[in-house]
Amino acid sequence: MQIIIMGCGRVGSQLANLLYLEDHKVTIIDNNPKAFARLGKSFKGNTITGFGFDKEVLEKAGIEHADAFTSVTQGDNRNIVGALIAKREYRVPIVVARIYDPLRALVYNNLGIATISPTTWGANKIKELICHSDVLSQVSLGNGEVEILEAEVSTNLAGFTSDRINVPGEIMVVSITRLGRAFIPVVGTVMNQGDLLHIAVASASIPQLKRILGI
Amino acid sequence: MSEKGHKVAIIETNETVCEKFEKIKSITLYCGDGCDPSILENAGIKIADVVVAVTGDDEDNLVVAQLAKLQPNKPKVISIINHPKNEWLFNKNWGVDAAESPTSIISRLIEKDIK
Repeated sequence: MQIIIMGCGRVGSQLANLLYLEDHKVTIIDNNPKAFARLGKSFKGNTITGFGFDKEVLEKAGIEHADAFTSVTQGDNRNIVGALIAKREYRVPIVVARIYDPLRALVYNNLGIATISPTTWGANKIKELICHSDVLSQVSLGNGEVEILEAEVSTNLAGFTSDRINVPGEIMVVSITRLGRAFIPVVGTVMNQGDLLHIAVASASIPQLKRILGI
Repeated sequence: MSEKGHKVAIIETNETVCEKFEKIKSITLYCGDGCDPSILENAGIKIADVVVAVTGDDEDNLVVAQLAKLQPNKPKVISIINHPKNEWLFNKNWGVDAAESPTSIISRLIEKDIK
């Protein structure tokens, strides 16, 4: 896809690299040329210095043929206007704006822009991390027949392999997050105390899972 | 405007400017961010006939225009264009009914003087 990113801050630069590594055609715009240093040496996409509302800058970035546009500058209003330009003036099919203020994020969702509010997302995530003593449902699949639950590895499970939790057709550990990094366990992966597990479970088997987890 | 009998509400973020307006009794003052939907609602955007967006930031003015046109009463929106390069966005499509750019007003006046 051809993707335009407005704002080369922490999120913008990381996003640019993630997309570039997946072979997308990435163009990133920032009014401060020094911001592009954040991209690192491995990034070989396009960088354009200029103001994100400038018609010339946007057209130089190829907005007329872009498949996606995202605005991730520091300013909510700047991100909103940037996203609206992409949507209204250039009919870019996918437009995403980062908006810190949750109330505003909601308002602009109604204007047809996908908004992400890191404030709400972060608060929810932190709450989950504080309160993960019991299992938390992360994703509900289908009509809730299968849930992805989150659970911390307690002392009684630490040192065992993750397949000890698995029950064919009912329960499966799909990911382990250790010290902030997630990976997919293989046969024989040993669980450490404090590991965060993501477990796919048939909803009817949740009580069984709780017994296995000892909660 | 208030001297002409209109009911005026002002939204201003700068506290020093707010203090200045506080002395004027005919104007209702709201100290805060004019792009915040809840402050606009407090100031009466849902019953306003006209919304004037004249901040020094074009993106703020455009955001106010979007929010105004989302209201059921669809108030008329008047704005200023700070940066001439943004002129292409200040139109009915963006909820702006009328806009003037101080830069182009001044250059028009200067041009007239030269002639």
